[in-house]
Amino acid sequence: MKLRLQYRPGNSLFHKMDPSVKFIWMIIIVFLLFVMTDPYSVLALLMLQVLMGKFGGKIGFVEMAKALAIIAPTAFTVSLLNVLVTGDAFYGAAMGLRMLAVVVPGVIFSKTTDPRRLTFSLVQVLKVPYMFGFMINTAYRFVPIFEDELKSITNAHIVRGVDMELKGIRGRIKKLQITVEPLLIGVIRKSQLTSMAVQNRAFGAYETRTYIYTTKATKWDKIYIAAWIIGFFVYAFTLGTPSQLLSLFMHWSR
Amino acid sequence: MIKLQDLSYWYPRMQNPSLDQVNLEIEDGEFVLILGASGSGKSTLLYSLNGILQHEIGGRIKGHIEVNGKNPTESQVYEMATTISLVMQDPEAQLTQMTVWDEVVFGPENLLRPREEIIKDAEEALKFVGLYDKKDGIVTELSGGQKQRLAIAAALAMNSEIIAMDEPTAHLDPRGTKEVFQVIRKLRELKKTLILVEHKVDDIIELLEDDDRIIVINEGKVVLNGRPRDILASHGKDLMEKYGLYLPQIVEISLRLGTTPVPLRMKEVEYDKFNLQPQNRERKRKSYETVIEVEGLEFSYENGTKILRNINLTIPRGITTAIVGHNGSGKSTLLQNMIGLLKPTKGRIMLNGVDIHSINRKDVFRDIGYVFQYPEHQFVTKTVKDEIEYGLKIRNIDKTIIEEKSREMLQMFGLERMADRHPLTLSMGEKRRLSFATMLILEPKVLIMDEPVVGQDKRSTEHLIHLIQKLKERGITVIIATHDMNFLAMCADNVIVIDNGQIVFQGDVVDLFNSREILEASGLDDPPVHKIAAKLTCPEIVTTDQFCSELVKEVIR
Repeated sequence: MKLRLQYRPGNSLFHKMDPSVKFIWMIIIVFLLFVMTDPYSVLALLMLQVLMGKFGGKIGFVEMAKALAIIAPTAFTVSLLNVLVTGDAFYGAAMGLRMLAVVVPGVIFSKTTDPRRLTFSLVQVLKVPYMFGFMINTAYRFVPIFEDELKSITNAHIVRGVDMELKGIRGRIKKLQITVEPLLIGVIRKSQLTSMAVQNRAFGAYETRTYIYTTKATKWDKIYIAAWIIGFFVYAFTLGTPSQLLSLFMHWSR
Repeated sequence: MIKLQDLSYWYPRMQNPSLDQVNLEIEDGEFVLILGASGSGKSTLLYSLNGILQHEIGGRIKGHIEVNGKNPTESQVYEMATTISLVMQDPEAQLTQMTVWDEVVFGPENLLRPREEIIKDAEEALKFVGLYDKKDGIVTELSGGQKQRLAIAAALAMNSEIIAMDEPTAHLDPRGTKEVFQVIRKLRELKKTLILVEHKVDDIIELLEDDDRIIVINEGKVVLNGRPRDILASHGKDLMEKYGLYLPQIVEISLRLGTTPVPLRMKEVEYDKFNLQPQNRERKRKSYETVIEVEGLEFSYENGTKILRNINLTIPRGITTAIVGHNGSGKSTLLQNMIGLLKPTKGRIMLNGVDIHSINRKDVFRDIGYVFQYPEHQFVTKTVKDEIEYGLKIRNIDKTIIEEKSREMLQMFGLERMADRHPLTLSMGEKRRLSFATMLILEPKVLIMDEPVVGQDKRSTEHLIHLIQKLKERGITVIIATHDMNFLAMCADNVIVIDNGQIVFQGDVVDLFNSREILEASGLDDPPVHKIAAKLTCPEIVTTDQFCSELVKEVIR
């Protein structure tokens, strides 16, 4: 999973795009999928994104398929359940395809976005507080460390004679029970050490900080996002069902 | 100037103070080495200087601290950061950014310094520690030595007046240690106040000058404070016997043989004091049964990175085999393959003549005990006692037997007073002892230890060597992965050197120490005592004990 979604350095259009712009684009896609109810539109959007991934992000079809394989079983189950509940195969297919279509921009984003550039962009372009940017940065850095730690904890149990190859739901729950606590303690300790380390470097001394590396959305980034916003409205008020999105907003505002 | 007056400190929920009425003054520009056994309060003292203790860890503090006019108890840690920078023991814990450059500029950016000034300082700092060519590199891809050099560069870029270093080489191999000490040597030229906590006295003594200072801490108290020659030559025996500390090997030899003046550094050794004849001692080579056999082992990670290449070796039964190599050479991967925790890409591992992957894992670990490199990774329960008993409980052993054995282990490893404490609240040395106890209670036939002496003081290391000796007497096979050459010399019967995933040497310690090319190519180094003995045409002497007993005979003769 780590390798299938890991950032891969490159020089493609998506690599060059500002991460915040890509982030906003992902949100537009989510909204767009809300107003798309027919499977043909969803399929068209899905294919468009796959092509964009191929030509704009240099993500091959096989590579994309491998990444989508992570979500495919869930998408299939969602489709099937919807068909069974509503009796509408069209609607069921649309629901399953929607899941895949949401994931594709995520794959493009994760494979073409330097995590470090993302944090700079969030803080400088989207004006997110720098503490939040630092948290994202740290999370990116710590995920592989915690993966290794989990492996060590599992090994520690194995060498003491615990069967860690338990299968099934019960087995998984048992494994979770014995690994979660030491892992959490490890996470807390690591957080404490990180907190000590960053304070040692004057982190949090001021409300703002200097940035050696600066980033901003280019003219082309802005054109790209504007095109998607226009596309969204055009689709929503011609072929789409904007009422779905409106009802969602109403629900939120309540 | 640093001034501590009657400083006492208690960790949260602790009855006894970790610092006990410490009075100390350190002048600007001084170079101070702090020595002390594991858990003596050395790190606590450093952490009190930048306020981490007071603001992050909590606990109770009494007395007064002044660091260049600031009081760390009243000032926030980030306010202290412009005065004192701390380089911590664990390279992983203190580096928080993704790239080398980001790490160095992180502190100055937080201080809102002008962009141009930050770039200039960061470039200078990276050039100073020799990492400028790696400025775009990923931090996690650096070696241990490079990571610690980076931590020093980050401290330098902060422009703090004081740099405090807490055992910066504890996790490093000889090559990494050398790199860090070279940087510390250069740091002296900057005339900053340098405070260094360090166990590797053989290396650090070469950096100390006669007007530097050594402070010895024992049970939270400053027990000795003076010039290196005075502390080491006049109080050397106390350091070894009373406070359980290592002395530089040349000092130890000199004190044990009673030669004067006591040399502190290699260049001061007067070789003509030892009138020796070359010895041609025959070393007995016995043959042993094989317990583990590795044939054509190759191992690569999922992403294709090859870690082990065509490894062929045999582990003899009932003796101690050391697997030696620098950090990242493949030692831990080899060990984990040997016990079936990792599956080889190619080749096979035979345990007692049977392919290890055809044996049930539970049965494998009935025979093999494994002590992990980082003891924290091994702890899975809430108290020291539970941790020791855990393996037996899993095996459904009778409660009374568990109680009896656990009592024995707590006593054997000096952990009785900590029985109810959480394993993670122990000191590094105590954690190590606990990790040995958790394995030994299971009475394995083969005991594997991954870097068992990292962060250990003299007493703990000697305790471990004594333990290994006892295990050997009981016919237990011991396998150790280490890069500590003194420890190797004191306990290994058989040595395997691994470099870049390949075996480059198999033999005994004496042969290894006399193979200069292999040592250099593998980033290893023989201990000073062997260097002296080799110059005295006795290259088969590898420990201070051997040196003293052999040479005394020669001198008497």
